Amino acid sequence: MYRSIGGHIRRTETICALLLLSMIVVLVAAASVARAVGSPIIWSIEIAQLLFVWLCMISADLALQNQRHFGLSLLSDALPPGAQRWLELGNRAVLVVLLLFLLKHAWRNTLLMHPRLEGALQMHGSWIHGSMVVGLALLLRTMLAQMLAIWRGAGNDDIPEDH
Amino acid sequence: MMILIGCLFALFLFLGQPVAFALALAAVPVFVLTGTMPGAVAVQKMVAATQSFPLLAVPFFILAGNLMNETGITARLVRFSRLLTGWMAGGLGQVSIVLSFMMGGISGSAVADASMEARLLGPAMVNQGFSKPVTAAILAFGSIITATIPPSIGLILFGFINEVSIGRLFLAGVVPGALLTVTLMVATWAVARRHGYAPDLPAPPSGRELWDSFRESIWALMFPVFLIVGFRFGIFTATEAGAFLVVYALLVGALVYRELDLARMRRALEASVHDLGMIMLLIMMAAVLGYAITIERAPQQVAQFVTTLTENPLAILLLIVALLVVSGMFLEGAANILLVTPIVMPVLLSVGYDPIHMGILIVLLINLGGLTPPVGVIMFTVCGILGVKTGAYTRASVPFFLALAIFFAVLVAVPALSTWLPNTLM
Repeated sequence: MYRSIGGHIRRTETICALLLLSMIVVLVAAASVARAVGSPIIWSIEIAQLLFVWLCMISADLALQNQRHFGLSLLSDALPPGAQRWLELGNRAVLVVLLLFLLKHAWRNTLLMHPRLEGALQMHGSWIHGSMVVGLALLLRTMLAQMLAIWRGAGNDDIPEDH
Repeated sequence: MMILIGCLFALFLFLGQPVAFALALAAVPVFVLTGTMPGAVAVQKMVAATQSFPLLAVPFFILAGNLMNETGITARLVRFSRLLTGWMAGGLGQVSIVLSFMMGGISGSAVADASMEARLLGPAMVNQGFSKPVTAAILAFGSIITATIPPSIGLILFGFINEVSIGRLFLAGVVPGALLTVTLMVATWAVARRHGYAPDLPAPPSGRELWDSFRESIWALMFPVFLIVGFRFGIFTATEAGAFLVVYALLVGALVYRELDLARMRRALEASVHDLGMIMLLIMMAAVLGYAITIERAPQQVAQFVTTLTENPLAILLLIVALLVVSGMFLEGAANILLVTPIVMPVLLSVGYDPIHMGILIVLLINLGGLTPPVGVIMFTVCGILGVKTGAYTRASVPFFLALAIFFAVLVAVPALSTWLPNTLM
């Protein structure tokens, strides 16, 4: 049950990320052509940057699901499998605290930024800063799902080993 | 406070936390303990790191590279480099080095290049009689060439964080990259002669064969040339160039090679999203720590400390080179550029070094640490794929280290190697 929810989230995130990336390419390419022919589109870069911050957070979560954020395995390699498992759980527990801290401030920051109107489009600051709330929440969910998987000892569903 | 940040970072890194998170974990205590900086600032710095026009180039170059990979360009480049150098002593070793030079424009990352070549050429080299450690050493050392060939992600990050023109950096990397290629080819030749490794091809190819293979690979080889011409005539900025390269890669893949279909396109997009998530989280978290470090006035403190030791520019440069080599042993390239260069660049600039010259030197030096124990990323990648013990690899890599030492000495002594091309063209 839980796994299928994880799968849905991952698929949705992947589709969003692919669309965002494609849209940013089109926007920047179109904008530079428009600039070259003498009729610049002023909002294109603003929108591209808005989309980019969302893309960054969603792809950061996808990279986490695929174990792409690498670190040193010096200590972990030296430990027996049982201790390795505790180390991984401990490390992720620390990250859960970090993400909760950042998430709390991201929420406050989004409320703070909402009244600000940015750029030529006069869009609300929360459109940009809201990406942090969503992104950090996604990272938190993945982190908790990975802890659960390691706790159960299965661990191979949410964390593919090939990276 | 600086010592606390440093210790925390080292501790979390040692415990095996991913580098991106270790950066944030080291920075957050500054926000909590000082009480003068609201936590919201940490989040704002993360957002700000993404809202930079030059950084928009990163997803484009990653995507363009992945698209090119999906169109079978790699196989064509291998064929071309085999014809070009396969007949020399240490044939396949030479091929791998020339391939790194040509792939630089596509893969843009030393680790990616090393793992690709270790899978593609490694087994063939071992079959032809190369010892495994020597094979690993050649593949690992060759891969750092990619760091200087446009569009290298390392150069983009360096330009972004130190406010140096990315276009000029791209131009500046070309000559040192070519020189490094030649240096490593000579080293491979010497090693191959000593071990008696046979060439891969019995004789140099005919002009006709070479020309046909060149024509097949031209689209990938044009990649960096296209960029340089664009900058020279001010047609586009680095970011716009990135967007165009994506379109270019799409057109070449779909219309010229006719190998790019929707499934492959999706694969390239997905691979890019994963690469991007990894690198951007690193950049965002480094921005948080970078802010904490600036508040603590670290660059000024480091500058003061260094100038109390010596005021001789060359001695200062050598000190910083040593620091970069050591930090390169523990930190991956991008993290190193984002963290260490903002601290050391002001010192280097204040004693009169050229930012472009330093950029090329630093981006290459940082990769050097990836080649060495204890934790070199490139070393682990290649040794892991080929099944080589790091001890044997280290012994086999001594001649290549000597070659690199000579190369770096020349690169430091002759700034014109890096600055000549951008100064002439731009």
